[in-house]
Amino acid sequence: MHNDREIRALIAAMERGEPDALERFRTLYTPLLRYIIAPILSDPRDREECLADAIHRAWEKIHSYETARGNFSTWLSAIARNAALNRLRELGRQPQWEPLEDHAHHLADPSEGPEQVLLRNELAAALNRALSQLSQRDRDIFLRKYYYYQSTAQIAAELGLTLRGAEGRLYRIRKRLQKDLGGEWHD
Amino acid sequence: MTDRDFDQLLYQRVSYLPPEPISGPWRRALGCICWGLILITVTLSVLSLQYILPAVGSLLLYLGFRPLRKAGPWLTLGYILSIVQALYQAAVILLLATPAGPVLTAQPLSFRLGLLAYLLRTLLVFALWLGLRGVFRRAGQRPRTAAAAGVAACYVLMLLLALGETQGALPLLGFLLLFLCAVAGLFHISATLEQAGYAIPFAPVRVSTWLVSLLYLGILAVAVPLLLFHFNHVPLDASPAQAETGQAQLRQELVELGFPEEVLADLTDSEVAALEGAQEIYAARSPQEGEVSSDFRPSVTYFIQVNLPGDLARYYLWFSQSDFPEHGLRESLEVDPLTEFSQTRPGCDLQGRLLWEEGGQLYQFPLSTQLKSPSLTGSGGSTPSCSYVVDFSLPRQGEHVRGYVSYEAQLLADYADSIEDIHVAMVYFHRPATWLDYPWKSPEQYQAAGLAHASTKYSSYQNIVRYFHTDGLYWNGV
Repeated sequence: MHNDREIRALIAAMERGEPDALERFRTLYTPLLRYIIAPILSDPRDREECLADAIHRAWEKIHSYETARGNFSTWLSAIARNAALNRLRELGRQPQWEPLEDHAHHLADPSEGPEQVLLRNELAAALNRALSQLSQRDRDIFLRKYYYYQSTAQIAAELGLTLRGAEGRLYRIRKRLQKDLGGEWHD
Repeated sequence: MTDRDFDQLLYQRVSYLPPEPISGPWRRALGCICWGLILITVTLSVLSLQYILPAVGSLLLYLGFRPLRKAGPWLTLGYILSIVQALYQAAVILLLATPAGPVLTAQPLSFRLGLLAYLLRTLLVFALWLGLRGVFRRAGQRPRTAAAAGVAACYVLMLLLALGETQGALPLLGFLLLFLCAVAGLFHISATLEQAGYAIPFAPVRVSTWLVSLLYLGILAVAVPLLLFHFNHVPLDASPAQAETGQAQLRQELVELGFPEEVLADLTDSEVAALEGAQEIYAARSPQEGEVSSDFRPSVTYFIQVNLPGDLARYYLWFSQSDFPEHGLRESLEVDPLTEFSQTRPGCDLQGRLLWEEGGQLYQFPLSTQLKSPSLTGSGGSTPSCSYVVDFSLPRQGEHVRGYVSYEAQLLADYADSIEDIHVAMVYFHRPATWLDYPWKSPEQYQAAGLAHASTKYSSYQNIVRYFHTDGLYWNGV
């Protein structure tokens, strides 16, 4: 088992730029990075390039990782997700369900004015409140679908649901959020 | 706002949230497998948990291996073994609700089945261990499966202990320690996967977890009571009968020798004819005339010995029933001649009938057809003998219900000089108090349990009849 001490040692080695740390990091976290990237990029070559990009980014940004702000795997998941979405943008493609320009909103955007930042924070707070009303399992399903872009089939297989069952569950989650957020989200 | 617009807004605005962790996809499957293994290994013999927990455990094992079935050959094998385990467990639970149950729980079959179950679990653990090694290899990582290997080792050692049939406190303590080590290891297996678990390809499922669980546990929950109900009630294949009054002269002679009239009236002419030449007749009634029976069941019982020419004796057990059980459940009557304590050698042929009246018509049900395989070992002695076990149900609408069984015995040549009992027989009547008494019990099991302790799940009546030179034939009481 990789305990916290081992992971902290790995992070410290990466911060010091030790050569074998990259290999250890690559061996340990490649499955997770692939897992996050795969639902967003369908082409195997794009996935491999994105994986290399995500590993590079993690290596470069390791100094910005703060243990207090969250789990290392979560931090890496966000890096892999963003790398995949950026890759998608570079390829001139976009997921059919989402306007491409919205993907990077959570990242610091220097062009945003104070009003936009305030609005974004309010929308995020409203969504967070609504999500907190969901059960842990429904929240997990929601994040898999809307944050990690997993297909309904993948969600169903990993959670032991039938495809129809997962679709039904997502439908009910959407309806509930629509009810909870409807007033606040009207443009 | 249309549903599609709202969907797009969700995709956009979830990005505003801080990153959230995704739960490891393997956790649920491995959690099911680990809990499944624990539940099928733990034996808690209270509140029927010894049946419920393994059933739930087998289901969890299947549900855990199901999404992993395409993640390598060992996990595929684990999936197949989990199906075998679930079917085996279901079969055992269902069979225990039938007359096959006592056969399953009797030695040596019980021990062999237990070994088979342990072997199956050990194979399951090995399949899990080797399957996890495959997952690590697929992830390009060094296998970290010490916990799973430890669990597998524990199971092998437990299997060896069971194979050795070792008994006593020390092996039991060792078994317990191994089991606790295995449980602790099982809880660590999921954690060992950490990052490698993301490399597992999950197979889609066509039937939801809820439906599988509902079907598996639901079928068991419905089938067990139905089987118990079915096998705790013996269908009465009744036929109309006529009261036979032939052999009037012989009947009169038998009455004069002491044969109780109410019993004789139930015997057929051919049965009476078989008593031609009777020399002596001894009859014992329970309870005694005038004595009020409060807890005796059946209402009246006669045991009769008819001494015939050629050192033969014919024995009759006659009973009448005045109470009708609420559910019309199976009645078990057992007559066990204790040959090692007596001077008779009974044959293994039992005759008898259940008789009752319904709407003024006499009906009969042949009890001899319900004769169970005779025991050849007797009651703990080395002398071969037969014990007679008869199952029947009382007729729901019947009046004046009574019945009798009879058997013949050879009197030993020197019985007249013996200072011991000439004939001793244990008589038992057993009746389940509820059709939900699980597992289904044979009369022998009721007898064994009844001697050990009282139970609210069945009622038993037992008595011993003795024929001694000086005292004649009498009910001795137990």
